[in-house]
Amino acid sequence: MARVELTGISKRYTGGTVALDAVDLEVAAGEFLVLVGPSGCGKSTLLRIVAGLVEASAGDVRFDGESVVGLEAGQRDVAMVFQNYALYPHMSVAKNLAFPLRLAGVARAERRRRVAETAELLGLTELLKRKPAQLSGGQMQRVAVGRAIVRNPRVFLFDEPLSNLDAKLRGEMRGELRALHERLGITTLYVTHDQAEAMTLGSRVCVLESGRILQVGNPLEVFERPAARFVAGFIGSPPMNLVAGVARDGVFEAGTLRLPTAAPAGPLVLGVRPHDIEIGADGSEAEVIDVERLGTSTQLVCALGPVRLTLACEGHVTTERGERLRLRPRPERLHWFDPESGARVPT
Amino acid sequence: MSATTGRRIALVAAGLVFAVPLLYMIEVSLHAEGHGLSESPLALGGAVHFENYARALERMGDFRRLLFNTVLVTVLSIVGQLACCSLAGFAFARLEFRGRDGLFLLVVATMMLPDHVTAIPRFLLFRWMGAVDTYYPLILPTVLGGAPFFIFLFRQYFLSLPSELSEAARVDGASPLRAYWSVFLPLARPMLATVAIFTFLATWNDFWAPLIYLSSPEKRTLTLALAGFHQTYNTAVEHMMAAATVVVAPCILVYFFTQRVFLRGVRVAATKG
Repeated sequence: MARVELTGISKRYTGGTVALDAVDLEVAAGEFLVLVGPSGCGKSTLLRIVAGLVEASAGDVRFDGESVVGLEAGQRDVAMVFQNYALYPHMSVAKNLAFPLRLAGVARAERRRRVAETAELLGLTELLKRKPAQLSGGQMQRVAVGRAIVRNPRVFLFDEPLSNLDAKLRGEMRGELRALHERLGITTLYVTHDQAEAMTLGSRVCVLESGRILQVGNPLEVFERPAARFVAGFIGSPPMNLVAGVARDGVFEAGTLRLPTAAPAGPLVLGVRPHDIEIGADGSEAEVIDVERLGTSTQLVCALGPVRLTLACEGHVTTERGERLRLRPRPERLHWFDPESGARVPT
Repeated sequence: MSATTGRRIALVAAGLVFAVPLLYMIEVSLHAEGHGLSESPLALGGAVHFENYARALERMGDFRRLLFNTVLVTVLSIVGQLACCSLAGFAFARLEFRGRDGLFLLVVATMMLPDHVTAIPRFLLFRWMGAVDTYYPLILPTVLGGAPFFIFLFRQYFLSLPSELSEAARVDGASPLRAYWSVFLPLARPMLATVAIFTFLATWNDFWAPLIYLSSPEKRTLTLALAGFHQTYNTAVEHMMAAATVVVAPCILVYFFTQRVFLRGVRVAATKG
């Protein structure tokens, strides 16, 4: 396992598109770091730059302090799992697993031993003779992971590996990947657009938008104290309510909503998570305009004049559409953002 | 009459247009010597002269030698064509290098040049190389990428495979050549079969190149021998038709057994842009 350092990584394509803009990132040896962001934010490009599949326009990639820029992908001792698995369709599972070892010149007996060991670890022993076309999505995913770990690489790269699986299988595979990482302890960079994966898998999360890093931190920290409006809206499900309004004399006003704030006067964006709004006797009056019963929780969409707030209530509530409620966002759980820059406003 | 029946009748009618000359050739080849054209083609009657075939082969000269020459040229052309065109197609589809797309356009543009336009410069080139009256001029142009259409076919085929395959091979430590050999070439089997068949038909039937380059009788190919037949024995139509049937039989058999591959090749060329 290796420590990975990225300094000043930029990627510009001919035509002027900027995929990455001076990205700095350090991944500790053995760490599981999740790169998360919407499509086109540059996360996959960053991963491919680490892999050596894409050349950065500027910046340096170092493994354990040594630059790997200029090294071919095969010489970097990294392994990658792709979204569509990229198994070699004409080779059996055993041959797929053995392929990187064969290229590395590993002797046949050793190759056999390691393929058997990996197959055992991932529960693939019964499938070794099958071709990829004869496997289910989850099995193909396991083979792809197997092909990556069989080489015992310095760095593991995952490019949205679970997005082709159904929800149930995705949950199972998340658990397996976590267990695998704990067992092998290999430095891992994991790309996803799914915030649930980001929250549950990584020891740290790196949120990207438009080629720039907005926040890096452990999942809970990113959830509790989002550094930017974009992060606030992206991490967490259901997403955080973001309400544009104005701060005046220590009071934030938006529609019929009035909240005390320590933020300086001027335009301001309020962020409040659906779980952090209480229904009570005091507070701003609101009308329930939609009710979604999810079984374990109920989501209410409320209107406060032109402002919409989503509430998440534990369990089943009897509130119906059209009812009027008084809402009180918990004052210690409010987030304030600058509407221009999107940055968090310290209070 | 249902639409299916109508379509069948139309297909049979169209098929007949192509089949009649072949059937006529076989029919004439079985007539008694000197009666091939004088009798009505359908009046085959009782006397079937299979001995025409033995006579025809005898008159062609050293048939085994001719067959060997033709097979040699055909096999080498197929092997060369497959190796060269698949490599070039792979490079155009999967390698990144400066001027790649321009170069590819140039290759494709050469498809517009009729063979007859390049025949004289090509002849001068081979004469300068001292290769006239050898098999090199028949084989080398195919080995050296003389078939832009097949390069195009391979490129389209490789482009249709997911790009993650080559990325996976690169991360696994494969050089471009290794990725070509171990990953892309095995996956291109359908395309290899198609190109092999196209090349077989074109080389086996080729009359033009052997005519220009080969002069020694012992180097002649079957098509040349067939033409020679025409000049020497132009009166014995039955023998000529028997010889033609023998020469053309492998093509018909190959086409018959590989129709599906052949048509798939045509479809790929037509649909992948």
